[in-house]
Amino acid sequence: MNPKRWLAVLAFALAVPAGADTLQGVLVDPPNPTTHDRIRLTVVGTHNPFCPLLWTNPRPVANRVIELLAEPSDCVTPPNVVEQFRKTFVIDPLPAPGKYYVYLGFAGLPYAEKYELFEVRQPETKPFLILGTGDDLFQILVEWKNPRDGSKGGGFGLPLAEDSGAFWFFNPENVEATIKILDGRPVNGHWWVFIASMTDLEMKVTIYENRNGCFSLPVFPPDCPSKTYVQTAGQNRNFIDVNFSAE
Amino acid sequence: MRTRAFIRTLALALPLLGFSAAAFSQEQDLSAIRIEPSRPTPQDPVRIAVTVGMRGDPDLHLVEVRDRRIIFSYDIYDYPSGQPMPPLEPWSVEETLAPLPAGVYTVEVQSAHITQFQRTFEVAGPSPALVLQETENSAFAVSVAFEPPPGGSNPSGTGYGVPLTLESGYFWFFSPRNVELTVKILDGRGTNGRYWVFLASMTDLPFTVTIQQCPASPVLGQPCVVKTYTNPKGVNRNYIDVNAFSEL
Repeated sequence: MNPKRWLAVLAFALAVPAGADTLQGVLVDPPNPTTHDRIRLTVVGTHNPFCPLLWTNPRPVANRVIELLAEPSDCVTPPNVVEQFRKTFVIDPLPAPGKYYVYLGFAGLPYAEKYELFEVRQPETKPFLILGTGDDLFQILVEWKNPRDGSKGGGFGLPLAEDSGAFWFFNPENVEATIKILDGRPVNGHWWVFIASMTDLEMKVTIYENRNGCFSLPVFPPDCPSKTYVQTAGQNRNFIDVNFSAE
Repeated sequence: MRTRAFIRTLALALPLLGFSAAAFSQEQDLSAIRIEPSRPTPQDPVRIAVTVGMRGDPDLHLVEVRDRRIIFSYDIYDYPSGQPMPPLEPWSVEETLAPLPAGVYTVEVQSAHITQFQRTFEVAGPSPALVLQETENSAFAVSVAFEPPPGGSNPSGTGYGVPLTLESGYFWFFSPRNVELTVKILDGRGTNGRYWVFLASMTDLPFTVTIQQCPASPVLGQPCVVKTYTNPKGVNRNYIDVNAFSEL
């Protein structure tokens, strides 16, 4: 073994984890990935920037365990500097839902530094979206049709924020329409509806308004006043309706 | 490449360093850590729910929050021998922390002062940019500038990005509840050798979307490729560009 390498490894072994090289953990992005999402793993820790850690690519080592290992690089007596680092890796979607662990540590040491736990879930497959709060609720349904081959179906709702959401048709990563409903009643007495389409398929968006507690009835679609917006096939258009009124 | 001296050093050092000998046991099958919101800002209280699987009450509780570590602890229940083992049950505790300063935090679930499993999360303020379609070769940074209406709540005219997946996200202008623009960058190289850009707008305010495609590792002399999409005042339209960017 090269004496310089031996000194570096010994210095590293004696330093870990109290020295420059520490591993805090792994940021998982998206934080709650679905079985369709590529996942960004960002290792966060500290190191000596004059002697940065070398990384192996993430690899599955057991069912639901992904190994991420660091090694010291070859340097002797670097300046005594410590700084935070982030090291990012992107992995393919994990097709099975459930719990996974990132086994994060230093190569050659028999025990893992950290076991980072995250969960993979199935994508949202609710055939509707609910926006609003309290009694001011709206249920949105989207239907699509492809005249090229006659196929048709319903969109799956994906909440984005309290007043906004999206729909996917074929792939959860591929949003086809986004919608928001804003409270414009202080301005003109109406709710305002915005629909942005990213498809040229025929698309029908129906918005049901929760009036007199009609959402509480176990009926789908709800037996409530509604309004429909239709995009014909071959179009790609948005809808802005600042005078929304369901009937 | 390990010498005998190195192995002896390790053998002496490991007990002092307190490494855990057993990372996985059946008790961890019910393990869970949930953090809400999943991307907290410095204004959000953070709700943390921890679950462990044990055969008796493990006294799971929050111990302390220090140095960006949020430490929970539980006891391994020493079940009397000679009796039938009851099934594992989930035992949970939930804590809500006051808003945390920006930074990276780790929820550690410990038994006998050894971290059995953990979850790391970041507290960050609203971001003026989204990084999408990150690959080994390049990444796309998306930012939005809009013309704020007089008296609006965001006079800076900077849109704030929220990621959805590694390929898509959205921007808000005035409130995190109010999505204005959705962006997705798809890898269409298999079809026409290009990355495709889709912008879906739910506003008629004037805005400019700037997308910078930069090399993953800075390369001397290789600049970023920049493309902009400008929306005039009073217009609401989408932008679909299937010839947006080629591979760097």
